[in-house]
Amino acid sequence: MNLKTISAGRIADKVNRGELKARDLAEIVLQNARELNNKLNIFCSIAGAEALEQASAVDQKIEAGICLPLAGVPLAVKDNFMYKALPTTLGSSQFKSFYPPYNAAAVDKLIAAGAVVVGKTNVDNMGIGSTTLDSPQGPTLNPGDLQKVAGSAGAAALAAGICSLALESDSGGALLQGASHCGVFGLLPSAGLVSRHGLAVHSGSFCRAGVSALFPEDLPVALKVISGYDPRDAVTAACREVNTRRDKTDDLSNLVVGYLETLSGSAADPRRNLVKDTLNRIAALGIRKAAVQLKHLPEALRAHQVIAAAEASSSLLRYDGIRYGQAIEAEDLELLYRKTRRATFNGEALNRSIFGTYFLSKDGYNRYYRQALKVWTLIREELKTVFEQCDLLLMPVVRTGPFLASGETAYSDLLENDLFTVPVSMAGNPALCLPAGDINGLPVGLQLIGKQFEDAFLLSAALKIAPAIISDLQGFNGGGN
Amino acid sequence: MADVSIEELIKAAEIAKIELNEDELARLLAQLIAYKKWLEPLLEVNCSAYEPLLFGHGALNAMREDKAEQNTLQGLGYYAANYEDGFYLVPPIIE
Repeated sequence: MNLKTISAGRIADKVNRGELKARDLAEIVLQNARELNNKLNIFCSIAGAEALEQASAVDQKIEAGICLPLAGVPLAVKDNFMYKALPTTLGSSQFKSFYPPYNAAAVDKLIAAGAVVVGKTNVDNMGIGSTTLDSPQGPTLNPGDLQKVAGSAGAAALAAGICSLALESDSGGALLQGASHCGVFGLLPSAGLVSRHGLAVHSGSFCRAGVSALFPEDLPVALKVISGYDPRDAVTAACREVNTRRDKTDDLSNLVVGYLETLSGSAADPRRNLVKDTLNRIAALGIRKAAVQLKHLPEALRAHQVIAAAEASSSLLRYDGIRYGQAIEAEDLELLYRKTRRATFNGEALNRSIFGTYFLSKDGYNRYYRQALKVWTLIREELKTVFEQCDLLLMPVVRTGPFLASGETAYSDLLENDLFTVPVSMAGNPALCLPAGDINGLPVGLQLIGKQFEDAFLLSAALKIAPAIISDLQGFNGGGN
Repeated sequence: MADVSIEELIKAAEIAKIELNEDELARLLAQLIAYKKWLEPLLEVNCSAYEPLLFGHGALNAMREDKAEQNTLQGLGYYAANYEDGFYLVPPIIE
């Protein structure tokens, strides 16, 4: 069975009808995962007996007459979500043998819905980054070009046909950028819609859980499974507002899609042309266009960096070898902390621990952190104004193609990479990355952004719009066979 | 003004409880100087009309009904790596 040509919904249908055994599928999928992992470096760990047991449990429930929305669906889980059956490494060698005592809320919900965890996917150190270049096992390679990174290992697992769904996290663009680089659909739900209980959060303000899929029609199902109020994550109290929001669009002629009047880059930039072409295609469906402005995108990017670094420096203090992780022996406790934490962090996690501490010092706070908090208010106000003029906002996801897997990328390029994804992180809106074309032989996605808690509306509109954007997607609108 | 002194960086590393050698300090100092220069456009934004945002989600408090609830021993032990008969099991610390 080729997972690239069958949606998660169709797999669940077949398993629920008894046409396919979840256990048989799991055996094929695990074999496939082991073979492709050697080439692509997608997984930190691949499940074995535990996945087969999960699949058998699904088959038993089906035989008992219980119908499951994700029956037998192969699932990739990012390695910063707690999952009891496999190590949760957080992209650090100090956690290579850490088995969490509990499952993350989203993992529990997906398993309860019938999904089968295939493995834990590669992650940047402490979950900070959108390249996997800061992973101790090296970057996950892009299935479309082995010289480039995938961005998100979960997206790579989908693009390689290993899994049908991927549980992802995002704090500045990792989910959306990975989906764009790998040509899959990535959904970043509204902040507060999905519980982060059991997600190793490094930024309380920006970290969110989301989901990616090969087929867009699988996203509403997955979102319904993982969303909802959870007393263990106070931010999900916002879910109480969800029922009052729009949930579907019936008439596309009533829909207004905004686009940025000015985009950075030259007029010949293929990403600008991609937005233009896409707007023309969706206008042909009767949708109206509206030019809008986000004047302070570059400044928002910088504010996001300052706040995220400050929050990481505080959040990551708990990884000291005593409360979490493996300690490195030293003459005294202070040195144990310092040596252990140095061994735990690298790359951007190390930078943010140091720079974030600097931003929270007296001088750094007054000069940078406080100003960043004000720009945070400003960008939220700008997005609010944008959504007074349109229902959805269409934007690029990435400034450039995926980075080289060799790591030869300037630090400034890594910093600038989140330009188009930080507004959503800062404002809490839902965003959906759709594959919209290709540049230099690699897929490129665009993001549709919705109003906060109008996730269902965003998905409903996107499902109607997507066929006009992606005319050659195999099996689209039916999920194949 | 993007300058930062090595003393400021050492102080930040001490507060962050991270052991850095001289090479790492030199690399991070150069990176922090470049980083602060990159941040300069942020400082130029006129934010006089805006208050700092302190809570990004805009969510309401999660208020539950004002009613006493009983915690169970099983509930308390759910997140422990080893929990038995109402006790947290930890490695021996006295040999």
